[in-house]
Amino acid sequence: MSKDLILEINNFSLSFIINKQEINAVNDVSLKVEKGEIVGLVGESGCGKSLTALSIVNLAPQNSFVVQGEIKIHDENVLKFTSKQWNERRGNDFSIIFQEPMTALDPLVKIGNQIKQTIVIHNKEFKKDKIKLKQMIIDMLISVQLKDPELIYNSYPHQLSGGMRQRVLIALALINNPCLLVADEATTALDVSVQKQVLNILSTMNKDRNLSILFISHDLGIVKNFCDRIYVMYAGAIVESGKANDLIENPIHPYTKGLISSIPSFSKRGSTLSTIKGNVPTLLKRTNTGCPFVERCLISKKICLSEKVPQQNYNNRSLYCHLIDLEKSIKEKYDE
Amino acid sequence: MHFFRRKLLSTLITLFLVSVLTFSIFQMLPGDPATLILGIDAQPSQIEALRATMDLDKNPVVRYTLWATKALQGDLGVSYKYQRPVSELIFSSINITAQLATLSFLISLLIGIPIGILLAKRDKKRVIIPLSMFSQLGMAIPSFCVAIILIEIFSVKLHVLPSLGYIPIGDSLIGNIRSLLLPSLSIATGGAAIIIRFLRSNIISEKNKDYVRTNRSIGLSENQILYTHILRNSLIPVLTIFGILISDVLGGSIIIENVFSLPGIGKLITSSITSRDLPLIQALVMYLSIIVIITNMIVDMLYGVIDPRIRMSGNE
Repeated sequence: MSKDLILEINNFSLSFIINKQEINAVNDVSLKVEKGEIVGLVGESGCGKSLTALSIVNLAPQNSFVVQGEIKIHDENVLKFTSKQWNERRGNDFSIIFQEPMTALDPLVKIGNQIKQTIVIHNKEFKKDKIKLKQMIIDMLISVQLKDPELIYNSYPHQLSGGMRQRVLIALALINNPCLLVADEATTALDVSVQKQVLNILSTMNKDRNLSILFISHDLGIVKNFCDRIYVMYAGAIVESGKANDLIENPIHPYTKGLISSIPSFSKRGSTLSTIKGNVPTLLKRTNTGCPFVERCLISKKICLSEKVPQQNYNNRSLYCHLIDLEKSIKEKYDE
Repeated sequence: MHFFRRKLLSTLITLFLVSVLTFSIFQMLPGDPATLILGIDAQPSQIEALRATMDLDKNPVVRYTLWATKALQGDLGVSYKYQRPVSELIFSSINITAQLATLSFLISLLIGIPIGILLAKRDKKRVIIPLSMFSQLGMAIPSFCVAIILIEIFSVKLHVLPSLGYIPIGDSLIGNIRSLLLPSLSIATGGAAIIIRFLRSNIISEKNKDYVRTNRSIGLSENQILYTHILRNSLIPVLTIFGILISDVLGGSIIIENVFSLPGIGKLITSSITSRDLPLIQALVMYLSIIVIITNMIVDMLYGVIDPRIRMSGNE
C-alpha cells in the first residue's frame, strides 16, 4: 500500500490479572488507520473497544498487561515507549477524547489555562508569548464552533454545558495538531442534536487538517455515515471489517447481522425489534477455543465450538467466521 | 465580591450572637459579684453602692449594651485578682500565644503536607506502614505526652533546647524560636498527623478522577498533574481541617503553656479560672471565640479562593 499508515495494530492481545488469574480481554486484534481516514470500531459494551483505544495511548487500567502484538503509530512501536516518550507524544502526535465530558476537566482551572498548559508543555517556545498563546486558543475555540470564545476562555468548567465541555475537550486534544485522534464513545453522553454538532466538528477537522480518527462507538447509525471503514468487535476480537456503507448494508458475519437488525428504523415500524439473544460473555467465562460468538449465534455448527476461526477475505471484507467457507461453497455450486 | 461580603456579614452576626451568649452565661452564674468582692460580712448599703457602680442594678439588656460598647472601645473591665485592666493583661500575653499558635500551625503544615504527598505517591508497603503508624500515633497521643517525650529527649538527654521559659523576640530571635520550638512541636504533632491522613486519602481518590485521565492524555507527567491539578483539588477538604486545627492549637496551648511555663493566654486562662476572676474569664472566652470564628471565616473564604464553584454559587 502506498498510502500513509498512521496507526497500525498487529495481533494485539491484552490481559488482566484478577485474583492472580490471567484473564484475556483483547484477543489478537489487528487494525489499520490511514492518513485522513475515519475508522469506526463498533461492538456492544464489554467487547474490548475502549480497552483497545486506551491501549493506543497507554491509559489501559494498571492491572492489565500486553500479552502480544504491537501498536505502531507512524511506524513506531508505542508499546516500547518510556513514560517520558509517552508524555512527549500524547496530546502532541496523537490524542484521545472520552465519553464523560462533564467530569473530564479540572473544575478549579479556567478553560483557557487548561488549554494553555497543553500548548506550553509541548512547545516551550510559546511560554513567554502570552498574546500569541491566547490567539491560538481563541482560534481553536472558534474552530470547535464555540460561540463567544473570549467568554469560554475565562470560564470554569462548571459554567459550561456537556456539549460545550466536549468541544473544549476536542480543542484540548487537537490544539497541538496531532495526526491521530482516538474518540472513545465521544458522542455517547451527548443529546442527539449536540451529538450531530460534535460529529460535524470532527469531520471538519478530518478534512481541514487531514486528521485520522479512530471512532469508537456502539451506535451503528452514526458510524455508517461518519466513518470510511468499520471494524466490528465482539468479546475482545475483531469479527468483521470493511467499507462502512457496504458493511452496514450487507453484513456477513452473524454478529454484525444481529447488531444491524437491532437498529430501530422507520421501515421496521410496528414490528418487534430484533435483538441478539444473551449477553457478551463476561471476561471470566471466555474461552479461547472456537468462535467467540458461538453461544449466541443462530446458525452455529459443530466446527464453531472447537476450532479457532481463521481470518478470511471475502467480498472486500475481512471476516472471522467458519461459515463463510460454507457460504462460499454454496455460492460456487449455484454459480456453476 | 458577593461571596466574600456574604461570609463577612454572617461572621459579624455570629460574633454578635457569641457575645450575647458569653455575656448571658456569666450573668447566670450563681453568686453576686458585689458580694463576692466585698465578702459576706459587708453592709447591705455598701453592697448596694458597689452594685450601682458596677451597673448590676440595671436590667440585663442595658448591662449588655454597656458592656459591649465598652468592650468595643477596648475596655473589658478590671481583673479582680490582678487589679489591672483586663485588656492590658490579655494584650501582654497574646503575643506569646500568637507566636506559639503560628509556629505550631506552620510546623504541622511543613510536616503534614510533604509527608501526605509522599505517602500518596509511594505505594510501597515498607514506606507506608511505618509512616502511617507514626500518623496514627500522632493523632492518638495527647500533646502534653508528646511534650514530656520531647523534653526528655531534647532537654534532658541532648541538652539542645530549653525545657521551660520564654525569651521575647526583642531579646534574641534565635532564643525566642528556641524557647518556642518544643512547645510548638508538641502541639503540631497531632495536627500534622491529621493532615497526613486526610491529604493522602484525598490525593489517592483524586487520582482516579476523570480530569486526571484527561491530563494524562494530553501529555502531562504524573508530577505535573499532581502539583498543578490534584493537589489543589485535594486541599479543599484539608482546608476544613485547618479550621479545626486552629481551635486545636488554641486548646492545646492552654495545657502546653502550663507544661513549659510560658506566660501566654493559656496560662492566663488557668489562673483566671482558679481565682474566679470573672471579668478576665469572660473576656478570655470572648477572645477565644472571636479567634475561632475569624479563622473559620478565613477558611470559608479560602474555599472560595480555591474553588470557583463555591465562589460563584449564589451569583447565578
